[in-house]
Amino acid sequence: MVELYNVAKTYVVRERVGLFRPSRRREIPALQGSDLQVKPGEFVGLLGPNGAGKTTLLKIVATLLLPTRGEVFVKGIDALKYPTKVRRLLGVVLAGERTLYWKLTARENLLLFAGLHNIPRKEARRRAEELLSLVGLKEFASVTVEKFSTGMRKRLAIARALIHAPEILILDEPTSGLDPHGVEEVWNVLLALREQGKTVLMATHNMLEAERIPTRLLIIDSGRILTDGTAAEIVAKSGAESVALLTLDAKPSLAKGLSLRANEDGTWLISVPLEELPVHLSTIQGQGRRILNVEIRESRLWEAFLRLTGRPFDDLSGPNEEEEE
Amino acid sequence: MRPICALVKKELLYLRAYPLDLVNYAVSPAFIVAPYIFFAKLFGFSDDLLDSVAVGLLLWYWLSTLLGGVALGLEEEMEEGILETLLTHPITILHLLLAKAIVAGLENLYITGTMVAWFFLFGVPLRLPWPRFLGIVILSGLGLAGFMLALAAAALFYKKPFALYDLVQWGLGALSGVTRPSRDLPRPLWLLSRAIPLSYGVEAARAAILGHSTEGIPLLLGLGLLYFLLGQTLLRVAERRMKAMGTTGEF
Repeated sequence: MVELYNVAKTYVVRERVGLFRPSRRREIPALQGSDLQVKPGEFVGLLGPNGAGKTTLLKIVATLLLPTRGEVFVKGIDALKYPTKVRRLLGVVLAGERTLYWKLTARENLLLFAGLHNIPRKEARRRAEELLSLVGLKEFASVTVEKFSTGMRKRLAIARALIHAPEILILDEPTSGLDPHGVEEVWNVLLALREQGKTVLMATHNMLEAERIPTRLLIIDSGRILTDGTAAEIVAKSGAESVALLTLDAKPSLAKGLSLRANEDGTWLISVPLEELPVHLSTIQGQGRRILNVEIRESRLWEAFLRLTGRPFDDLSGPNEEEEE
Repeated sequence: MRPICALVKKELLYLRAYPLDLVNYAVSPAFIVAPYIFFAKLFGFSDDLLDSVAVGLLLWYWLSTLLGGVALGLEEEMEEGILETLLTHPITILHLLLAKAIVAGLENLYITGTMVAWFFLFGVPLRLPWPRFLGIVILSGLGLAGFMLALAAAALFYKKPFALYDLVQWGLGALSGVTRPSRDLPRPLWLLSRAIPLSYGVEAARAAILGHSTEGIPLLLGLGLLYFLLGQTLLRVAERRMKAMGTTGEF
């Protein structure tokens, strides 16, 4: 359905070095020869930190960006040669909020974009009403988008991308900048699309979203696709393990290799592999330390990412992770 | 055709959001018209000459509004940040520009009406052969399409091409003989004016007032086609460069 072969993209930027000095040319590799195949009905997630190359990859598929090298096919059509044909097959939601006309109402936006896909007026109206229901905005159909919350705009943007019943949906960080409630609302829409068997390629830097929504996940970092599989497969492949986080009243004396950290309130936090928990518990109790709290953290993608790249995934801030912890 | 209609409707809906624009369109021609009429009257121009000034001014104002509406129209989309999203749909930048041109044409009809009203108020009753004159205006607009595409290409490239727009707008006005027939220009400038389609439009409009034949129309259209092809090439180059550089979403 979507095929990328050896796709690379290098941005050429101008570095400014003052008001009068000439700018310097600099090349920034964003994608370094990526291959990707998305089959019909797959919900593929691209997980990676900011600057990993996710948006670049999606924009190349969406025909907004020309790759430096490589080939891109959508349903067998060469996206670089026939961009207009490819766009008929795609529904695209780019990152950010400015993907709609804010001075138009929700319904007017949907009808406008239906018109761009040459959908007859009557059919467009029917689809607009259906989609407004799907994304839970039916009662706000006649309200201008400028009055919407960020979450409502994101949901309307998804409805906008679905107006022509595209074969493939491309979503770039559909929940970024949303509060937990907004995230939940968008997730419900995404889960409904997954249930319908829609082919989706979605970029995210949200670990929880990556674990919950896609049926297949690719981890991307520094312009390379590092691994591919379901979230569980990726965690298992990486050898990441479940851990217990123990909060102690004082510093214990333990074997090397265990993570130990002092908290601001004078307590100590220790991370031990889950299967070794009984042994460490008896050691700690034998030293007379008091265990104030025990938290079991199942092996997750962030550990897999750490193991795959050798560095922590540092873009975990956001409502979902807070909610998770 | 449906995509163009959808885009035209969007532009009209945006007028709903900014109703004062319509007041501005009605009032601002007065400030443009007044100085020209004042000076024409000051130097004792005859009514015929006044008509001649008025027609050049009317034509130029009409066309510069069209030029701005189309050439700088993309800037609205870029500023709103929605150009990238629009280009994920099966339309081209030419579709967008055509829609802008249609809306600019509709706005111009309104502006023309108010401007003519101002002329009457200033004591210059325009004795124009209106159907013929409007035909010339439309053909002159077509003749300027290449300049519009070239300026739109500059907008994609430079993002804010006001300086170029002003240069082209005023340059075209001066060289094509808005207030004075271009044959009165110094010879090098007159030669330059022969390369501008609008010159033939202005001359044809003046000839229409005097009841003369409008011979320059084929030249207007021929030159216009040449500039159109050039402008289209520039637009394609700018679009391709924008996609290669990844600057579609930038402003």
